[in-house]
Amino acid sequence: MHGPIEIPTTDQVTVTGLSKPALIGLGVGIAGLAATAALGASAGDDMLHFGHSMLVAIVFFLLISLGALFFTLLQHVTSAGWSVVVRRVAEAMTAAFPILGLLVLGVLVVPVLMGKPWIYDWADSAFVGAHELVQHKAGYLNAKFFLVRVIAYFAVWIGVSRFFSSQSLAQDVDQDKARTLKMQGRSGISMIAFGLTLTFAMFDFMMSLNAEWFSTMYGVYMFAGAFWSSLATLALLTMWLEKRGQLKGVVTSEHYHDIGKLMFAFTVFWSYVAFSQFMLYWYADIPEETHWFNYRIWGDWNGFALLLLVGHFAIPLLGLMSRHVKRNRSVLAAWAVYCLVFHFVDLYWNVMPEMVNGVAGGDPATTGPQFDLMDLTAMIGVGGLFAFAILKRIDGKPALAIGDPRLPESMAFQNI
Amino acid sequence: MSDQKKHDEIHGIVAYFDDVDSVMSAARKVRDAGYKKWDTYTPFPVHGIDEAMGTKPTILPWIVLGMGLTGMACGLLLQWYTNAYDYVFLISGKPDWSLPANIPVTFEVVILFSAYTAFFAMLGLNKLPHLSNPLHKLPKFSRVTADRFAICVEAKDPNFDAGRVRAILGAETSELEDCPVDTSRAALPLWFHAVMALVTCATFIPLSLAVKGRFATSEKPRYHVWPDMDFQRKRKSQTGWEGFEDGRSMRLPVEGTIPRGELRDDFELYFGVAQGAPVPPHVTFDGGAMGGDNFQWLSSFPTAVVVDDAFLERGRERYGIYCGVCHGAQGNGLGAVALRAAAIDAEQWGWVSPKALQSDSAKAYTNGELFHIASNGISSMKGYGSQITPKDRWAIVAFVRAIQASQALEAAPADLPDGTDFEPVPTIKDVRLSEASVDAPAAGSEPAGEAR
Repeated sequence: MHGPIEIPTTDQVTVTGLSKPALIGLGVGIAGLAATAALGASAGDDMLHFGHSMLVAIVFFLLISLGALFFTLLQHVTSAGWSVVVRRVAEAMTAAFPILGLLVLGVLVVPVLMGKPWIYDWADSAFVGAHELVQHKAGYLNAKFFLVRVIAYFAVWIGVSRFFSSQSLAQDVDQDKARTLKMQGRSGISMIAFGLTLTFAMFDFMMSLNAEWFSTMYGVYMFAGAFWSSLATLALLTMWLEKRGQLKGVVTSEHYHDIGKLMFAFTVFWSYVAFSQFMLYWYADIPEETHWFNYRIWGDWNGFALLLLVGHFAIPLLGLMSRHVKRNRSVLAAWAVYCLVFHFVDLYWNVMPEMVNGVAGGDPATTGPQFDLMDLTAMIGVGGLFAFAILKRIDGKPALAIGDPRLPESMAFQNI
Repeated sequence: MSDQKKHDEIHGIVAYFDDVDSVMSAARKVRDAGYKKWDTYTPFPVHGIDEAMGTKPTILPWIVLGMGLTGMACGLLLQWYTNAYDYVFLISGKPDWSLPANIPVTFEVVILFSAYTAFFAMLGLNKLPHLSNPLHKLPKFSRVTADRFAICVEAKDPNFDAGRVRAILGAETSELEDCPVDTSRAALPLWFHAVMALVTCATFIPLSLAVKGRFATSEKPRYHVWPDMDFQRKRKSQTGWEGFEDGRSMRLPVEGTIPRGELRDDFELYFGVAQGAPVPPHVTFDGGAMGGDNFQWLSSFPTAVVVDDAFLERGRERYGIYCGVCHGAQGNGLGAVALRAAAIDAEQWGWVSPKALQSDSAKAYTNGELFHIASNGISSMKGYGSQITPKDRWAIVAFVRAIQASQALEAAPADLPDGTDFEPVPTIKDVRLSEASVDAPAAGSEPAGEAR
């Protein structure tokens, strides 16, 4: 082999000079949100499009953080060695939970508390009164319980991500192996909590857009997209830190190969889950279940559905198959961007048809996609705040889990 | 010469190493020296050994990909051939060939082909099973599974030169030995033959049971492994059930049930009456006033259709398909069927000649009544409602109106441009009929030329 592994010093891997970019991110984020609010108010549709654009943007970035949290938990649960060099980056991606929590409270929860159906029809008591099926769900879909659940989700996510991040950072200083054992020990129950909170959060934020519809697979479907997009983000952030110098010589093409393998695996997994959800409803052909797909597959959304089939499944399946793609940084980066774009397409396809059709709408798919500048400014707004949170977290801290006992194994890692 | 003898005698030269670094370094040297028939033996997988040995990337992934795609084609073909082509199988009202339903089986066949191929092709590419290896005869070699590493360069290599190999390997380690060719004949123990004979006979048992089951008869009833699967409580269609009074298991739909998508809420379009007016029944009237004054027949066209040139052209086309055979291409009742019926005196058996559409009584019908006739028939004409869509029936009505305005007129219309050729077109009354039907009395004061 190549001789002893040289662990870099703390100074070599500590990130510096990000306070200004973080503030720029904050500024861009606030400006984006303000622009979205202004556009939303002037659209004259009672903030309907504003609410839905913001929902897509918030869930997009929330799922990235959740996927990163899952990645961290997964590495501890499996006592993984290969991933130690990138785990700090994944931990940093979970720094956005507090700010996303504020966004969720402000944009998703407050209108519900006010009884305004900007996003969720069931927030309006008149709507609930007119729909018997929704009345039966009122014990779950009501403003107070919704608020309690949102607080619970973020408490769990912030609590768990803080625990693992703080233990890992403390380990940088004292190299205490007991911390690794502690993290491994806690990772199991954290994983269960993660699964439950993500599932119900997606039921609340995304599935309840159409209060009369339900799908038991919805949580898994959203999880698949979450992990897929967070792996793409992980690859891009790691490449950026490598370029900046903090992870130079530490992360090798072997690690990108493994991240790429997971991206490939979850392309197939997302497709499997999405198709299973679709096929079961298609086969049973029960109108109470099929109307959700009816909106999204026929009429003007037909093109979107085909785009998703080809672009989210077929193309990445073939594109990410080759090991040479996964071992080449620039090609993998291009695919990572591609994955993020198509995850956005997926969320857009889930959310936007409800804006114009919904439960109260009559004709399925009478209106197709209505792209608006708001869709873009919402992404910029939430994205800016997301970037601010992450940059602020990694500024001044090591980009590498220096104290992890498995670091040498990770640095020496070689794929077969 | 002595080297030649050595080639005949030895399988290869083996070198032993104590750690990974030395075996890797030696492997690189052997690789660089250009040998092809050699291998490294390690107790655990060593990262980087492929590169050190110069091993080319395997083609196994491509084989698996090819077989996976073959599996996909086979899965789709199997389902298409058995369910959509050879014996079309209607399942739950789904289309004969429907991709969502066929994906699960296709997916599984892909997995089957890919997994089996990966396993067996891997064995094949590694030339396994390899029943014996001369290296196993060396006592020192058994430590390779525990704590030692070895390299063996085989004599079969085209560049093999014993001295040179010893020099290369000797630079890294002092432990070298020659591995002799295995000349022993492995004799299998006697009990092995006996057991194999017994096992081979035993493999015939399932086949013979199957043959017996196929050709022999039995007094005993069939054995049901899962009785509640074989005798399900559900009732199938066309069976009986004592739970209902009439003893049938099938039920009629509830009175007033409308199949999804078949709500006939546009009265004008579907019935030819004003919206909200009483709906005429799905019956064949006998002719004359259709249901008396009970129905508010439409005198115009429903708002759901646009009467333009394309619409009339559609009407012409549909009329030509469905109506022209009896009523004639020009609507004068001289269609091929009518002519044939006239030639064989079908009226003696109850044949009623198709009406000349340009006749006054036909012109007296409102559009709604014409639509009703096209849908449900009149006197002995059957309705075409089950064959022609509502909009097409309206197109035919529009075309009939066009006929009435332009064809088979007995006198030139007043607004005919000068110089236009005009000739009264013969109607059925002009066709020579047999004496029998000519004498048949026309009841009442029917004008000549009317066919009822």
